Amino acid sequence: MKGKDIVEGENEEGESKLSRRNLLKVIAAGGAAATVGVSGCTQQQQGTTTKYACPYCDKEFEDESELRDHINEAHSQEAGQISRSAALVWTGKENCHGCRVCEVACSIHKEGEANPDLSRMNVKWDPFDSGDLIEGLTCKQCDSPECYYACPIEGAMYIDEETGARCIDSEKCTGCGDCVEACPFNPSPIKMDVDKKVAFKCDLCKDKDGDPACLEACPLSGSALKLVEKDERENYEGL
Amino acid sequence: MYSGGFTGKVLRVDLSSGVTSVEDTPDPDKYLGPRGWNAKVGFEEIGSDVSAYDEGNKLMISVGPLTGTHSPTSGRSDWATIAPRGYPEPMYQRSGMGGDFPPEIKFAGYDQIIIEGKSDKPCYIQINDDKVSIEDGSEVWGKDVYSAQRWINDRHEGEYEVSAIGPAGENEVRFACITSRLANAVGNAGFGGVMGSKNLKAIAVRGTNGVDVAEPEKFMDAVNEVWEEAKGGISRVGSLNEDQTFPDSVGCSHACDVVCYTSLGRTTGGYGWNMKTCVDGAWVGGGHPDYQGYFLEDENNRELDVPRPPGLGEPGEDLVAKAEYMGITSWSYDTWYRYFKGLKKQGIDEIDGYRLEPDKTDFWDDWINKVSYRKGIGDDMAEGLARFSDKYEIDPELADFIESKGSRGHAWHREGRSMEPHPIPFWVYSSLIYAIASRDPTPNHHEFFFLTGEAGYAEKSQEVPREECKPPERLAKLSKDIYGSEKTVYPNYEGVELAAYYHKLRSVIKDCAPACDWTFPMLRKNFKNWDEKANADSLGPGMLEAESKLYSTCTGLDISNNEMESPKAERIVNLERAIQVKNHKRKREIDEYVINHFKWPEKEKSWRTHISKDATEWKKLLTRFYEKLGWDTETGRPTRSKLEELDLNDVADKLEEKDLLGSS
Repeated sequence: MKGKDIVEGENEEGESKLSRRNLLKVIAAGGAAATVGVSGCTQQQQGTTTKYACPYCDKEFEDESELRDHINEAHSQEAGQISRSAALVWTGKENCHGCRVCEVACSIHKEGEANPDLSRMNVKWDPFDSGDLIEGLTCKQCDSPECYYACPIEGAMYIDEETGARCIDSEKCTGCGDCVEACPFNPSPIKMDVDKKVAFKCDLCKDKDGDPACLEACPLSGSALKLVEKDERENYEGL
Repeated sequence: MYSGGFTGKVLRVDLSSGVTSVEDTPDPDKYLGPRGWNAKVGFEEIGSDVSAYDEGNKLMISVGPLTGTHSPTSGRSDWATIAPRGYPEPMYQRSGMGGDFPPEIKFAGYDQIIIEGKSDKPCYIQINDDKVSIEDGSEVWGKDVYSAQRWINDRHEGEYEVSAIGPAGENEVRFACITSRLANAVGNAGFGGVMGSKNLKAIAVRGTNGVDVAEPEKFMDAVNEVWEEAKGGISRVGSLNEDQTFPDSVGCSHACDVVCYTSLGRTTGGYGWNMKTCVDGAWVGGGHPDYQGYFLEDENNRELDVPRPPGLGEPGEDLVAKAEYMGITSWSYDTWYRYFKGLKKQGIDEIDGYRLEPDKTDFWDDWINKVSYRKGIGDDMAEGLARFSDKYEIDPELADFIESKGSRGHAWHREGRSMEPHPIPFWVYSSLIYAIASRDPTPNHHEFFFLTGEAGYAEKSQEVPREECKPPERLAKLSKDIYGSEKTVYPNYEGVELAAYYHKLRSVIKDCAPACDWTFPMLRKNFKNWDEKANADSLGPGMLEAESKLYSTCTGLDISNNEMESPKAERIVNLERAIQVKNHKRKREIDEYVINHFKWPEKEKSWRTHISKDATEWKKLLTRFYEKLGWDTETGRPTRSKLEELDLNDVADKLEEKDLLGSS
């Protein structure tokens, strides 16, 4: 797999964010023309209007915030069924020595190759201005997972029952990039593999016994990285 | 055939013709990795008439199979060329550099980069995966090493890892560095001048490929297992805080986090402690309290602000940064500091009108400029201390103590950096590894020092007669287990050749994996605290097979620890020796240059006196070392039988053709 085809936090240039499901809504709403691309994503045509569909009822909204408000008001109980998740947290440059072992361990475990571009988390350096670490990019596994809500394909994003991790099913994902777009973080910890037409992100190594690969590999025994359990999230700023 | 680790590609850049090409990586099963590949080019492609700054010289940069993975301390590269610092003549030398530049080469898809020829105008090489170009460097020529790296990144709007030279390299200073980021450098051998002679300002690399791993699960397990042995504890260079937490430090290289105490602490700004490096800045900067005592015996040293450069802009506090800006190793003015201080003690206050004021900050500020731009007497100092003292004939004995033919033009590892002379029994071992080296060999042969440090000889040698000085029982037993003789760690000549031979091989293994010298090979167990160590039955062996286990699971080449040592590493040792013999007429007489140094009068104050006046015992030791290596004991040259045993028949043929083959 070529890392150069990975687009961090962005969709493919020129590709619409209009999802297949929303396409149906659009057609139903206005009968506007739209074409389905090779990847399964759609190409929005001029003059159409995207509707945001509620996943719990048949209502549609003009923008995402309206949909969010609606879910909070009308479906808070159902939405609450999305369990909270554990999350990996980079604890800051005071604790991390910047060896980047974590990100390579991640890509080897997930892809069988050492490639930071394929890692589900990254540690960034500023080589000159400060000569110091800038940040660790990990998925926060948000309580209100915008990526999950934004995904238009049934089952392409799902919640892992055990950890609560927000996961991507690469078999179902069409690579439309809605999840990346919806992610409130920039750069997003969700990445796109343009070759394979799929998004990928941290799933807390649900396929692996024991700790996630990054955490297990951290030479500092996890002081630079922490696996924050569901019920500890409120103790960590930013989660 | 390997199935992981290597990219299988060598990038060749001819600066004369502007042609770049890609060829297959030489068989790693034969050449093991970086040092093997570089030596292959050195032997086969560089003629004996080629000197450092000739167009025919080549610069080789290789990364190992583990580079780019999370194998402990693997973010390293091995470089080689005909080095200008070589003395009495430039010679084939190797050097190493860690940091984030080496893995980027791997991610770009190459095992090795060979740079040859000479550009007719300033240039830099831009490598973006398989897109390689030679770019106009006229605008970046003249910039310091950091500005040059920024300039390239700004111009290409990319996250390039860059290795660059400063004004010192451009002006072919014989001890000029090649630097990446703030202070990862190919430092001591003067490779920066080679780039300067080729009008090559920088090499910029951006890679987005991955490194395949042959057996991911086994490799992950091996890495985790080795990390447990490598990090913290009290048997490694790094150590835990008393409360068992990890000290605050910065890993100097990709995948380097053994919490090594030579890594620098953090800083909030400026360049001083920000150098995310290994020894270099820490050494001069006194980043660790243990080091500060090594700064000369003279109290006056404290008046010089060299040990504490917190940042730029404050006169006297930025010398380290300035030296590294200009692209000279900051070790080098430690060397000159000792020389000038020595002259001052003898009442010599000036050389040809150049006033020596080594305790003044301004003096060093000016010295760095003079050397980097070869201004005035700086033109001669840029030739290195050994050549300088030859020309001016001012206390050549002192100069020889600091930097000489025996150290092949490098500062002696200890004496050249204001440390005390090599203590017993280190010096015997040192004398042997120096004898057959083409540069200061210590940077990849440290573990013997750490091991024998367990004996506390340095202290004992001041207090008790030699015959009463014996190593602890556990150390003697470990010596037998590793080297085959307890006597090897006694303060004598017996069996020292076994340690020198063993570590010569291990140095190749660690440079080919690659792995850092501060941690590998792990001869001792890694005790987590002093009590555990005190109560242990044995000190080791530690995880000797760590490198072979990592190498095998990453590459899919099933190589045992023993096979790694011989024939594989031994093959490279012989190939490198063959270069010295073919290109530089290396022979026993040249190896014996080290005798002068180890007879330095300062050492004759006690039984730490080492080589006797006639050097009889030492010469017997060198003969035993040659025998162990399978070389001709008269000439020190490799023999046909040894070379053929190592599948180096072509090398034997070439040496025979030139009448340089050793007699069996």
